[in-house]
Amino acid sequence: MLNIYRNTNEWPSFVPFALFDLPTPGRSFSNLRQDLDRVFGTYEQSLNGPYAQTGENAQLRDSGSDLVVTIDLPGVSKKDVELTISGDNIFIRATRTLSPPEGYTAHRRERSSFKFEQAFQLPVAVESKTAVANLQDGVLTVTLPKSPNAQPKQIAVKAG
Amino acid sequence: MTQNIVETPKTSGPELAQRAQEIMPPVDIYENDHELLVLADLPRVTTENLTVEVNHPELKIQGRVPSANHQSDIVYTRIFRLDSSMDVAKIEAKITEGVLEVHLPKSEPYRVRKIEVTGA
Repeated sequence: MLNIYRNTNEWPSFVPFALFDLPTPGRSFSNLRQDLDRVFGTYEQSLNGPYAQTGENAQLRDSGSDLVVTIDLPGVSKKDVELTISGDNIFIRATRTLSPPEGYTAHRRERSSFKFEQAFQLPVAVESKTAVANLQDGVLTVTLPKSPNAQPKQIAVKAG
Repeated sequence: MTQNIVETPKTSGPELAQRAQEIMPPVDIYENDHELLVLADLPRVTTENLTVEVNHPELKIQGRVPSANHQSDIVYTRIFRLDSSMDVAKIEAKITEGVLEVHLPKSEPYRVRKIEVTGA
């Protein structure tokens, strides 16, 4: 499991921007996903050059009680991933440094080193204490339990 | 570019006809005296969904990521044409942290060998 930094005093000096507009009725998660894709688009270009297509590098999923963020980070080891969560803000930094294996000559180099840094605002507040991050099969998965106020609930309708 | 491994344009097979998003994963190719080394970024691909196939002269790498959220599957494919310098029986592959490594050893006659020169 990855280390998750929760100390907001060490918030990096960047201006977190609102990835998501203010909630508007009817705004669905497919919109959110498009937003997320747009944000990660530049990263994908630097990562994959002309090869991979957009769309599947980063995903935000709402499982009801949790928000789940997944990001493709092939070849990144967990010591090179840093995650900071504060309220409804999340900051992710990951680096991949590639060098040719020793004694080999390169014939083709499409894979590239990258430094991925992104801050974004989640649509609801999350419980950072119980957040879990896992790096497996080249994918970072961050599971963020929604704060109690943001949990889905059913309202009983009383007959008049 | 070495001639011992050349990319072949791929044509969609019937197995891809169902909803799938096809992606060309980025690939690195390295060579030393003994082997060619192919590296490919295949995030989310597990060993069950990965095939590395040599059907001489073709080397085909294909990984499938089953769909999540009712989207289509992702299929990563690259195909290379090998020349006869590779020892097909000794090709090895492994995947770690979403990066596939394929080792293609050169067959004996094609290995670089240093010949010691003896004086008279």
